[in-house]
Amino acid sequence: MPNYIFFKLFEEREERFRDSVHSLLPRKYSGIPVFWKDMANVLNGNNVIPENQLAYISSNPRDSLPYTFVSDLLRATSLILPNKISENVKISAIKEFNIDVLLSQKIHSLSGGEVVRLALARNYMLSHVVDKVIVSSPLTWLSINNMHLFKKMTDYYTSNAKRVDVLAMEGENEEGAPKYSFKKNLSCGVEFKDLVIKLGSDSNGAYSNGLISVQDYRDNIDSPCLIIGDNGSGKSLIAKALSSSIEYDGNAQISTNGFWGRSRMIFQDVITQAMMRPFDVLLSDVDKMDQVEIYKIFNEISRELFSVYRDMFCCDIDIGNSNKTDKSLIEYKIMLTAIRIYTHPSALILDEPDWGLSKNASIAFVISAVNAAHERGVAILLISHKDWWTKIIRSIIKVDKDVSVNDSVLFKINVGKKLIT
Amino acid sequence: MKRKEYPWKLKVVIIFLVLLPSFIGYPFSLIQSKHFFLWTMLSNAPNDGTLLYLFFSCVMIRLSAGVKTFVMGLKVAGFLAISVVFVGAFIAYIKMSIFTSGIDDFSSLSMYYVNRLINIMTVVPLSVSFFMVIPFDDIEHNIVTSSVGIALWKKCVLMISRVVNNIRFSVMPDIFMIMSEERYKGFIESGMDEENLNPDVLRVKIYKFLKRSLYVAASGIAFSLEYIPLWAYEISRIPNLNGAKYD
Repeated sequence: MPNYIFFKLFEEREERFRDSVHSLLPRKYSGIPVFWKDMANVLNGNNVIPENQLAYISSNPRDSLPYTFVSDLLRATSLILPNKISENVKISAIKEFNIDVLLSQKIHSLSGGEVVRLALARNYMLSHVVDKVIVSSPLTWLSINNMHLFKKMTDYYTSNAKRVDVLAMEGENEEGAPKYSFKKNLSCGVEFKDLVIKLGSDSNGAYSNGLISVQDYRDNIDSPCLIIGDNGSGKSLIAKALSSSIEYDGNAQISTNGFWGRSRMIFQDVITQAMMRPFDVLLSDVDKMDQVEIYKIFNEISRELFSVYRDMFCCDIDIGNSNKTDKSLIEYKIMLTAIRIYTHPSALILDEPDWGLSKNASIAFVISAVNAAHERGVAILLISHKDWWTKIIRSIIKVDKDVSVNDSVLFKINVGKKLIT
Repeated sequence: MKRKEYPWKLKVVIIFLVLLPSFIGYPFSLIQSKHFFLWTMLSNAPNDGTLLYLFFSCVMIRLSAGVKTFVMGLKVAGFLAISVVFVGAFIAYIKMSIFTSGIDDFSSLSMYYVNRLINIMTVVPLSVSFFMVIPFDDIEHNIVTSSVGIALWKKCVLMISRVVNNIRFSVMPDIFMIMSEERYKGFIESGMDEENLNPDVLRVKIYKFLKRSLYVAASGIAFSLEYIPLWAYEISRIPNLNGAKYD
C-alpha cells in the first residue's frame, strides 16, 4: 500500500517534499558545501549520484520531466536503466501508460493529465533502479479514466517491496460532495463560432504550428458550470480562448445580463507567477480607489470562506501563517479572484481550483468565490476532474477530442451540454 | 508559393556576420555624418552609421530568421529597454533636476539614452535571433538518441540546450500567456476618459507599468534559472559514454 501523508496546507506539503527530495536536488537545497562537493565530482568526470536513489513527481508534475520531447525523456530514462532491460522496460512503459500517442510531442504542450501520465510512466521505468518514489498530489490532474494508471505505478513499487510516499492534501483521494445552495442564481450564454485556436504563436510557443478547430456551440447555461472531459481533450484550450490568453480566430465569448464579452481565467501558471509578487505589485496597475474596492472583495470572499467552512465542516479553516509580505496559497487565490471579479468580466474560469488545497478548503473557496461573483453578475466556470462539485454546480459542459479531421487541423474539439444526473 | 527555407547553420552564419559590427564597429563606424540628428547640434548625438546599422540588422533578421523571430527579438529588446533605458533615464533626470539646472546637461543626457536605446534595439534582437535560429530542441533530441551513454562534452551541450529550450518553450510562452490574460482591465479601462488622462495620472501609470515590468522580468529570470540544479542532477544520472552502467 502507498504511504499516504496528508497535509492541511500547501506550504507544509511543499516543505515536506523539499525535505524528502533533499538528496535529489543537492545544489538547490543542500547548501554551499554540497554544491562544491558536487562541482568537484563533475569536474573530475564523475556522476553526481545521491546516496539514496529516488524517483519523484513534484506538485507541478512538469517540473519533474527535464527534457523537451516526450521521446527524449523516455530515451534518457532508459539510459539510466541496466542495458539488458532498458529497451523492454521502455516499450512496456509506453504501452502500459498509453504514451504512444504522445511520443512526438513536446512535454510543455501536453495537458496536465497527460504530463502526470508521462511522469507515472517514467517512475514506472525508474522503479528498476530506485528504492523509493515520492509523489506530490498527482490526483488533481488525472481524469477518472486515467486514475488506474496511478495505482498501476504504485502497485509496481509496492509489489517489489519498494516504498511509495504520497504527499497529498487532506481529502484529495476522497469522493463525494456536500450540497450547497447559492445566495443568488445566475445564467449566462456561451458561444463558440468559427473558433480556430492558433498554435505556435508567442503565447503557445511550446506547440508546433498548427490549428485546432472548435465545434460551433451556442447555449444558455447556469452558473457555476463545470467543464468536464478526459485528459488532453481541450478543456483548458477553450477556456484560454474564452479568456484570450491564446491566439485564435472566430468567436469565443460568454454573455451575462445580455452583454457578450471576454472572460478572465485563473490557471496554475498564473498562480505560480503571482506567488512571486507581493500583493501591492499584483495591484500596482490599478488606481488607489480600485485597490480599495478590490480589497473589499478580497475581505468579502475571505469572510465568506471562513463562514462557509465553519457551517459545512463544523471547524475553522487553517489558512497558514500569513503576514504582510508572506501570503499563503489560498490568500493568493482569493486575491487573484477578487482582482478578476472587480474587472467585471462575463465569466471567471477557475482551472483546477482544488490545486494545492484540501478538499474542504477547495469547496469552501469555490463557494465563496461563486457567491462574490454572482453578487456582481459574473458567472463562474470550473475545470476539474473531481466529483466534489456535482452537488454544487448548476450545469455541465462536456468537451471531447475528435481526431478525424483534415491535414491542416490537428484536431477538433467537440463541445456539448450534459445533463446533471 | 512556399518561401525557401535556409538551413539553420547558414542563418547562424548570416546573423553572426550581422552581429560582428556591434563588436568591431566597422564598417558602420566609418559613417560619422549626423543628417538624421542634425537638429540636436550635439556632439554625442547618434550618427547615421548607428541608425543605418539598426535598420540593416532589422532587415537582415527579418529576411534570414523570419517575422516570428524578428517580432520576438523586438519584444525582448522592448522589455530590456523599459528596464535599462527608461528606468535609468527616469532616475537620471530626477537626480539631475535636483543637482543641476543646465538645459545642455539634459540634452546631453537625453542623447546618451537615445544612443543606449538604439544600441539595445540593434544588439538584443540580433542576439535573440541568434539563439532562436539554432534548433536547440533538435540538438537535445540528437544527443539523447544515444543508446549507451553520453560523452561529457555532449552533456554540457545538453545542459545549455535545456536552459535555452526551457526559456523558449516554457518561460516565455507562459509569461506572454499570463500577460495576455492580465491585459484585460474590463470596465476599469473602459471607464477611463480623456479627463482622467492628465499628466499626473499618466506619470503614476508609467511608474506602475515600469514597476510591474520589472517584476515580470525578474520572475522570467527566476523561472529560467530555478531548474538548473534539477537538470544538472538528471543529466549527470545518464552514464558517460566511456562509463560503465549499473548492470
